[in-house]
Amino acid sequence: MNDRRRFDHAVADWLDDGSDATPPEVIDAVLLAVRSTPQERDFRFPWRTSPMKHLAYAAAAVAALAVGVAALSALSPRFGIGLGPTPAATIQQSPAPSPRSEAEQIIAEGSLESFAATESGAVLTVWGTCHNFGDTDCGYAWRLGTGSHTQATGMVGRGDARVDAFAASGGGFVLTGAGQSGPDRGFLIAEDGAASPISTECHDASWPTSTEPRRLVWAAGLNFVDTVTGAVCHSGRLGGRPLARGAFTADGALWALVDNETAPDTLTIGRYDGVGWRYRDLAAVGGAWTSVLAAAGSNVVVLQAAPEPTPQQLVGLSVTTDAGATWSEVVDPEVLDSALPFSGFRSPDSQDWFSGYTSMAFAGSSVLYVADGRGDLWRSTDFTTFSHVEVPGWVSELKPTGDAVIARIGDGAGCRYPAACQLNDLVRISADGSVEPIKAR
Amino acid sequence: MDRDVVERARSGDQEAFADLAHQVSDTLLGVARRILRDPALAEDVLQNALLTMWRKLPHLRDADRFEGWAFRILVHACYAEAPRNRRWASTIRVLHTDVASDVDDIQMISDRDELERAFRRLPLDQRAVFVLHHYVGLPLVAVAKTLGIPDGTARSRLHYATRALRAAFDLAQAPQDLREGRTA
Repeated sequence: MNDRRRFDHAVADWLDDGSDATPPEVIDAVLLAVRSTPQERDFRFPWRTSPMKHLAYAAAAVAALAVGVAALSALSPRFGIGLGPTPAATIQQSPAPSPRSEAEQIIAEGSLESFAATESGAVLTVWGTCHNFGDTDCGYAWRLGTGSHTQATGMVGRGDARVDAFAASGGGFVLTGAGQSGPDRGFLIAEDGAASPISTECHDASWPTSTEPRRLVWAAGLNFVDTVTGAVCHSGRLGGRPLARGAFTADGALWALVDNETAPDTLTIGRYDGVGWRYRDLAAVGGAWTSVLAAAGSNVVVLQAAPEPTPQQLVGLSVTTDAGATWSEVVDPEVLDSALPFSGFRSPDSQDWFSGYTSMAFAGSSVLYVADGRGDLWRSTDFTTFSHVEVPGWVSELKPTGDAVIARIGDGAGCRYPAACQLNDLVRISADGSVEPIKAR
Repeated sequence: MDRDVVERARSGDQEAFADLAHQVSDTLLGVARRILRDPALAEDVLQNALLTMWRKLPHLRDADRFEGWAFRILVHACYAEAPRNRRWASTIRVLHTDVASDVDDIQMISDRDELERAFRRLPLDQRAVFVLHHYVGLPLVAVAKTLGIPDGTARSRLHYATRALRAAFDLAQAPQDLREGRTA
């Protein structure tokens, strides 16, 4: 055998070494996470609007938009919705745009990618103009605001990426980005608008033995973020069974849905206290399909849904108010239907359906809000019965911030369901149910 | 790849995506393992890549291009995840000495070990081109298209990777005294 053939043979032998069978728990955890993860929608082609679409929604959306534009324009005419500088004007004024003007252009034209808020009222929004995987002629920018005041703006990067914003435990914000333009880049943004670049690498990340309060937050996919350093780590770093989706409480405990290797149809929840894991199987609901959870203090609520007969129909509700010592669980369909009228997103012609995005967040630790994926918002203080909250527009995403939650909303123009819409506005919803618009850009 | 399954997953059908994930996971895991040289990290990357695919499926224009699109997402997930976890990357490899019964077996282990060490020293972008070309079997033009890089860039990355591995392989073939710098 000559040298070249010997080399080729050795390389082939070396590359073929080992098994590539995927462990079932690896896929199961992904599929569990998929069930509560919305797909990004392609906004280049508007979704056909159903003739059966609720007229009430349309009317409310138009009214809400008018009210929102008027209110926000009054707060700050320069930054009112749709009143920002046009790209043509910006380019004419500055043939070689500075980073600041580029950021402002993206904020004016882009879609809301992520947001976060601190208890002091500062709100960070991230805007992007990339709509396709691999796009390079686009970018992401951030805006920090308090009330109607724009405090600072800046560029995150160019090219398709996944950018997420988080409130940092010590004040300010963490921005993480994963994409072509810099997979390990991020920014720490102080509440005065000062931005410092950080590495989001996980390799040197470490935490105290007991999880530090407010330090770790759940991120996109199966990752979590250290809000002090910006490190983004895969949930496998926390040990235990493969995690599907989790939520850290303010005292640092993590509650997460976990893969159940022995009984795939059983939904299992785990609690990580910084040292070890405790698991509990939730009430069997005949093949729970998806679930979302929210946790605050000793309160944890898990909504379970199933694909049939209607996608995302609520089939189980598990609640603990003593950090998991005891659970109350509801699986009776009639009770569930009256507790929280979840239903699916099957299109009027029943030809297709969307995976609705149900989001939950606590305002403080005693009031729970649920955005049901159809765009409706619900409030509960006993975590088993829910009352409807009027919000001007469809609601798609909730994030806790102290004793309130921030909700992403929009008018849903040109699309059938909130999960398929661009929703670019924010409102703050207090524990008492009052709703206040937030200037997002 | 079943085009219908891709189409249904693209429309938000989670069961279709589950089928898709099962169909592609072994291949994708194989690629990730070979690029990263760390089985546990490769599983993490596979999970993140599959979730990215789910989120971004509506942007996939042509269902027939799913496989290349999936490779591209996976490789970017490798880029994103590998540096974060460098400390965790295994640097110790278990050699199965019980099968090394003769000189050829020992030489084979030595070859693999040198290739492994040399490969770990390569930048991730060179590793990705090498694995897609030699392990998956994609022509270089397809590798370039999959990764979204010019043909010449793919060619040069493959060249540098091959040259480094070849140098390491040649070193493993050299007599022991030569490797240690002794001359007669």
